[in-house]
Amino acid sequence: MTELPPIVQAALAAKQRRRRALAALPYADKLRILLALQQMADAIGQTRGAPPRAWPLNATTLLPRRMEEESGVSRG
Amino acid sequence: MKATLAVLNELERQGIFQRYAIGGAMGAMFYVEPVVTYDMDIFVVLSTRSGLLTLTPIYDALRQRGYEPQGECIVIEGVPVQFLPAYNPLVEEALALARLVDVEGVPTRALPLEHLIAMAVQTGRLKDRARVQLRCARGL
Repeated sequence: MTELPPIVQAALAAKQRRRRALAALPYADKLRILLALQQMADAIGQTRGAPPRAWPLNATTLLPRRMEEESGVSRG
Repeated sequence: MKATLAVLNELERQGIFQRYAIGGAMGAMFYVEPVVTYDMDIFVVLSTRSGLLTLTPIYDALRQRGYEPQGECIVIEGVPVQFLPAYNPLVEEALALARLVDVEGVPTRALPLEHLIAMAVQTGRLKDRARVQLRCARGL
């Protein structure tokens, strides 16, 4: 098999390093990334009329936004 | 998500099911980088006295708490959850060996990586096989 050019090998190695770094993150941080990915996918989907599917969670607390609002009301 | 896990823990404490663990893409995320998914697969050992596997007691308990089914899932605190009973010895073993993990103070369980891979191979869909290849290629 033909060896890949060094520039491609370097790019693939960098991708591998990034995947491993992402895999090593705490689960809660991965959830925050997932929420961001869902919102990005929703934005693309909405251009062709697809309904939003992102989870309605606060990316900081990972709690439902409804729950946040309710606790805000009870505090205030 | 933390609220969803708290509800699952409460159901387990009340004996609605004997044991649960996170599987599927959300389970795999404990070991690999985040991937887009829109539901959470929860594998359960049911609290059944007969040989019949039915999710009705889980759905009844969740409806009583105000959560409604949506397609093949039930939405718990904003997260669509799909319950899957332990349907063969591989899944039973995966649940028995599930790892205790913590999501910002909320305890939960994740299926072991080896079992997630074996279950993906057994399920055999194109996307499952692709996931197995990716996990192996990354040395995980």
